[in-house]
Amino acid sequence: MPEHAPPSVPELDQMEHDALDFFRTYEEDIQLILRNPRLLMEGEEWKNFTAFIAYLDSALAKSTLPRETLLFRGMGREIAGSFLFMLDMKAEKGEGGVFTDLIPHIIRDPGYTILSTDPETILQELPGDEWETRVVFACLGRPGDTAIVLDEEAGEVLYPRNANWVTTGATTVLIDQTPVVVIGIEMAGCGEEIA
Amino acid sequence: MNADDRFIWRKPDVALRRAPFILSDDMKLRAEGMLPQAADVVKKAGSGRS
Repeated sequence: MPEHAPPSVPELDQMEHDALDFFRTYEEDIQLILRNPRLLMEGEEWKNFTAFIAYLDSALAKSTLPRETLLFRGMGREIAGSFLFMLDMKAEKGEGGVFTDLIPHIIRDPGYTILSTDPETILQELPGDEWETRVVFACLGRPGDTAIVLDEEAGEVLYPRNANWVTTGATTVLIDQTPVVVIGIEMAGCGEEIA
Repeated sequence: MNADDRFIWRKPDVALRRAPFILSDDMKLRAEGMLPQAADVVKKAGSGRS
C-alpha cells in the first residue's frame, strides 16, 4: 500500500485551476464559511463565493484518485468520548479485534473533507493523556474516488464538501499503553447545496 | 492553519446522527479488510513519535 498518493492529473480549465489555488491559500476561511454560511450569506460577496465553490466542485468532479490509498482524519477530544458512546464502542476493549457490530452513524461535514495519508499528522493533534479518548478515522481511498491530491509530499487529499461519512467498524491499538480507537468510514454520498 | 484545524473534526464542524440503515455485509467485509491495515499504520506512526 503506498504511503503517499501520487498527484491526480485532471484536465482542469483555468478557472478550476484558479479555484484550487485559491482554496490552497484560503482554506481556513473557506471551510469556516461552508460550515457557517450565515457569516457571508447576506453579504455582497456571497454570489462570488458560490461561483468560486462551483468551480472548485467542478475541479473535484473531474478528478479521481489514481490508486488505492489509506487515508486518515481525527476527531476532537470534546466529542470523541460521546461519539464512541453513540457507536456503543468502548475504548478499553483491548487491542486487535475488529468490531463491525457498532451502531452505524453518519458524520456530515458541510465543508470539504481533507484526509491525510500520514496518521502521525493526526496523532500529533490528539490528546496523549491516558484518560482521554483518541479517535482516528481511517478510509480506504479507491481508484476512481472523486478526490484531488492537494499536496503530494504531505499526503493531503481533498474529498467533496457536504459529504456523509458512515462508520463501518472499529478497532483499537495501544500506543504507549494508551488506546487509540481507529474507526473505519466510507463516503455515503455528498450534497450540492451550500446552505 | 495548523493540522489541528485541518485534519480534526471539531464539534461545531460536523453533524452526527444515527444512520437510517444497517451496514451491508459488503461494508462490514471492507471494514474487516481495511481496519487491520489501518491499525498497523497508526501504531507504527504512534511508535515513531514516542
